[in-house]
Amino acid sequence: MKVTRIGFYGIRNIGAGLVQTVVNKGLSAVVFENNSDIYHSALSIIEKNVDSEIEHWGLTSKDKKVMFSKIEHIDKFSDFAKYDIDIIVESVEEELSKKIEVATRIMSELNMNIPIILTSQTNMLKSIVDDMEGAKRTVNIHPVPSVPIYKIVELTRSLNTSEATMEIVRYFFEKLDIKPVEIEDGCGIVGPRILISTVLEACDMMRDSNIQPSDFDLIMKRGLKMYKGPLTMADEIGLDNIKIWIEELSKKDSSVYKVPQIIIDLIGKGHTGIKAGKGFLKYK
Amino acid sequence: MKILVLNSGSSSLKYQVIDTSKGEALMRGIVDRIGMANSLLKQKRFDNDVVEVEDDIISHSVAIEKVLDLIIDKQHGVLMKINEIDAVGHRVVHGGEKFSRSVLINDKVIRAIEEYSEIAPLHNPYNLRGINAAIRALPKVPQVAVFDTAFHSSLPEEAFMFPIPYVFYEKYKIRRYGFHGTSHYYVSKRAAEILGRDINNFSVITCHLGNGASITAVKNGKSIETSLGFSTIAGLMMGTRCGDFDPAVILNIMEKEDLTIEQAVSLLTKHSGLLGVSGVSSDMREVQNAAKNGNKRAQLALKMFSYIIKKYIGSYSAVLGGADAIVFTAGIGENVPNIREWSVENLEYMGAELDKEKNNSCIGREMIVSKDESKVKIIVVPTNEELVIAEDVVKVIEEIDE
Repeated sequence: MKVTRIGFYGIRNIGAGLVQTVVNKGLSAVVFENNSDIYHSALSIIEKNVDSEIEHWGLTSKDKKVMFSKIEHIDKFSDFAKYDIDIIVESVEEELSKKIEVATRIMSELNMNIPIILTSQTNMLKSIVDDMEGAKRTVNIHPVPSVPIYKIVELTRSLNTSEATMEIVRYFFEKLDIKPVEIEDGCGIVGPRILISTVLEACDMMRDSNIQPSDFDLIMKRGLKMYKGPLTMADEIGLDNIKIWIEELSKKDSSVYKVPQIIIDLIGKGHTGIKAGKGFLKYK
Repeated sequence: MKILVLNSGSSSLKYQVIDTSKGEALMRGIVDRIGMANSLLKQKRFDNDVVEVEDDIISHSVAIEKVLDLIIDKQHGVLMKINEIDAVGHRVVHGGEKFSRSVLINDKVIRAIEEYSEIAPLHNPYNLRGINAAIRALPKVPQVAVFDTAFHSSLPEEAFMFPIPYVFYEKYKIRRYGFHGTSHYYVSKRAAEILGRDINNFSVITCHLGNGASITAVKNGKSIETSLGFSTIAGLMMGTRCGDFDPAVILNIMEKEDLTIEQAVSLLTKHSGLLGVSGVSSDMREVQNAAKNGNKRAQLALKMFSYIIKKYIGSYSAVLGGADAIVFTAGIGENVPNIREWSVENLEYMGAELDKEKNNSCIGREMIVSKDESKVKIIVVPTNEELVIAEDVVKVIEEIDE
């Protein structure tokens, strides 16, 4: 089984973290992203993460050089044909319609019989691929961002997903040293739903009791033994993405999921998280 | 016999074909970046014929197939037919407490190597990949496992136990295992031969100084103390590994810098040693150059490197009740005279007197570099782990035939 080169359709949402994980384990990433600003912003997120790992002794400057040499950028979808990719990972905006559009395009235009990994945080796999011909090649994942480099991933298959696809996908995660936890298809998987619920609670508490974001994260880290505070995680993911996740989840249950005013205000000021240097917290 | 020796790592496969009747390698090579794009196979034959192949080599099985093809290649090979290979010898890093010598590989041995993957997660699983791939490619050829830890299975209990609660030994088998066993075995035996001494009445301190480094006290052919421990980061200062230091330090740094276990492990294994102190490189040659050009931290790194070796030599001399010889081997031990000189400086009190002229003239070759009158002989012996593996394979095969 050959899994050495991974194609990425887009590098938005959690794409940067996934590309980083792939190249950190010696695999190559071919990224199709036709918006140059988005691509370079994602690369700069990866660079910040890698620099932070170097600062915290997790990686070396040599590792960084090797990692970046393994990322290739293409700006035409048809260019995937020039690369011998073994799996394609979708990483576009969280909207359901966009996910369906991309899944359809991959299945109809990419003439390669390879697994398709979707990365929807809030939608059911069934609602994206439904009865599509390529559903048997498709799974949905969510890597849990509570550690510097992903170590665990939530993996969802549809009723149509073939065992051959699962075998390749499991092998892929084994190569990445990531443990897949296979869960049933549902509206939003464990990590995002719990994170969103915690962020919503944090926003309520900040509004009601004026607690500072850094204090909230400190309590969660020290008290609940989280590696990173939930607000730091939200800043890493990007508050614009978090807002979309909440909006998507609100379509299922609007009584629970409602974008808090504090997030709307932060996004309005351009404080979208680490990529902007400021979100709930400030960054160097 | 023609023995194929394999050393299988996470993404690499080193190999040699050794003719044990001559004790020579017919060819040696490495397949690098297995499982990644653009893998590279490099091979050199005894007559300096060199071949390099770049390809996507997706697994150890494919790597072995490529290697076997090259062994019988009309232009670059050394054998006419693959069935000329009499046996395969595999370097296996961890044999735990179960294997005190090399063994013929069967299902039971494979299960045991698998078991020890828990205490050697960075080595044994990859050694097993090589074993499984070789068994698939050469199912009728005997396969022998030669363990890095086996030579140290003779360590006495007081040397292999750590002064922490005994329960951890009982629960997790946490103890000193030692590594580089084939190298320490080979150079100690060779030193006895060079000096015309009976190995069974010979005390020697062997210094294996490569990018990884360890020192062993060998008494009467048996390892009785060694500097690498449960893992491969203990003992001497190395290229990027820390060696021994106060364990409270890392706990303190982890707390102060909010490090994860992975980051702390990386700090100790990839950022420490010569690289960490000098800030220049993990490569001894580059640190030496920087030191010559006045770089103070590079000078400090070299001083520390030699000072720690000297500390171990003194301590192992005490363990042995006096040594007959001190042996230097591996990349640094064989090729860097000033490190040898500083490591034995002021050891005249214990009878070790270096001949500086001989020492300076000795680069990468076998030579006695102590003064003629030195009570403790100082010897440079190039190591040959692959030959030890091949010879062990022959011993195992011959025992089976008997």
